[in-house]
Amino acid sequence: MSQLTAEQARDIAKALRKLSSDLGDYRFENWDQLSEEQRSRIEGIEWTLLNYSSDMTAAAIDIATDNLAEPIAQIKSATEVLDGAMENINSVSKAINIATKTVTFAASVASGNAGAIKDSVEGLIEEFT
Amino acid sequence: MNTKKLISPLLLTLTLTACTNLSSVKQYSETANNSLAQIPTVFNDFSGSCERRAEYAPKDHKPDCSDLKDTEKPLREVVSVLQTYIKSLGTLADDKKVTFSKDIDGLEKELKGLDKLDSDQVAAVSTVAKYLSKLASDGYRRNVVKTTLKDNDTQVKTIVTALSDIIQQDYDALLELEKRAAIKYYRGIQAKYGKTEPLAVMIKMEQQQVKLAEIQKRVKAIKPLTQLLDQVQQGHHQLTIQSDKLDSKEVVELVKRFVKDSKPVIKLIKDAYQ
Repeated sequence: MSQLTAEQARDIAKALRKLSSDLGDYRFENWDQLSEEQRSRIEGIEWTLLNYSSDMTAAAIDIATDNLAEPIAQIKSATEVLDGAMENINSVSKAINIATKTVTFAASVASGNAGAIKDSVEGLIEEFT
Repeated sequence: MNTKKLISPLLLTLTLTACTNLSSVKQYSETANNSLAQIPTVFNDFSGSCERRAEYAPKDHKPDCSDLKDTEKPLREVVSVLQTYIKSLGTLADDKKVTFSKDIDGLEKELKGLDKLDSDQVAAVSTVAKYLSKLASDGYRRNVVKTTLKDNDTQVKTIVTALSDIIQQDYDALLELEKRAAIKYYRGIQAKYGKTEPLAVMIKMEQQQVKLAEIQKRVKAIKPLTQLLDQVQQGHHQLTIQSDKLDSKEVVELVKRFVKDSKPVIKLIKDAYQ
């Protein structure tokens, strides 16, 4: 038997709720014509139907939540990428690399070598791309 | 050689070519997280509504609220994952969280130790290094934010749509059950005792109005709740489609509107669940 979808569970919940409501209307509209025992039995069925309706709503929620497993896993991975990027920027080793390249840059500035300056600047930018 | 003459045009070029303002992403993140924080209150009311319904049911027909209680934790976790993602997006977009320049500050001391540079040159190189590293890290941050937005927009939409459906359809269904249980209970009292104890029944009917009004207050909060979720999803989507120009006036205005529209809705929800 194939599993219910959330929508199917919701439709069943709605149908059970309506049935309970219709039975209740019948019971109250025919109050005086029904015996105490008949009223009690119908009322019992009404409450049972309401409880089944509630159970089907819970099932619909479960199904809908289970269906989110994959997108949630992807969002978790994306969060790891974002957190990793933050760490990347703030890591000490990155600063040391930059420092090394900056010293090279500094030396190239001191030497006045335009070609070396350009290479050093590009090296700095490479750290983050 | 005059390093100032050399460095100034370089700085100007870099400024013109690579300026990043991710403040719209940061602002979206703060508001979206504040909006999402309202959602778990609703989930907690799934079993709450069931327990209120149980008060009206006869002794041998009390509902079992444990299934509904069990749905709450996974739903709160879904919201939590979404919040953590959006928060991380905002953190990466926040200039204040990037502490890289502090590491560069230490460089100045090292550079002074070099015999080759005078103090002016050290200051100039240190300034350029700070600026270059900021520009480079800004470019990196912009690319990661842009890629992340694009890669995950569909997932955000799927998750938010599912949460919205659960609130609009399932929570609404539970409140409807609670309402019908209340009506059934009070109708029963009226039918059994209406002729023999009219005054007592009248008091009970007033109680019914109070109970139904409380349920209606929660029903009314459903639309603003789903509006909030829709705004979170739309905000993420707009940032995605504008991800090549996150610092544009258009995007900034868009996010300002998102922030403005979310505030009264958040207040409405807080009032409904006081």
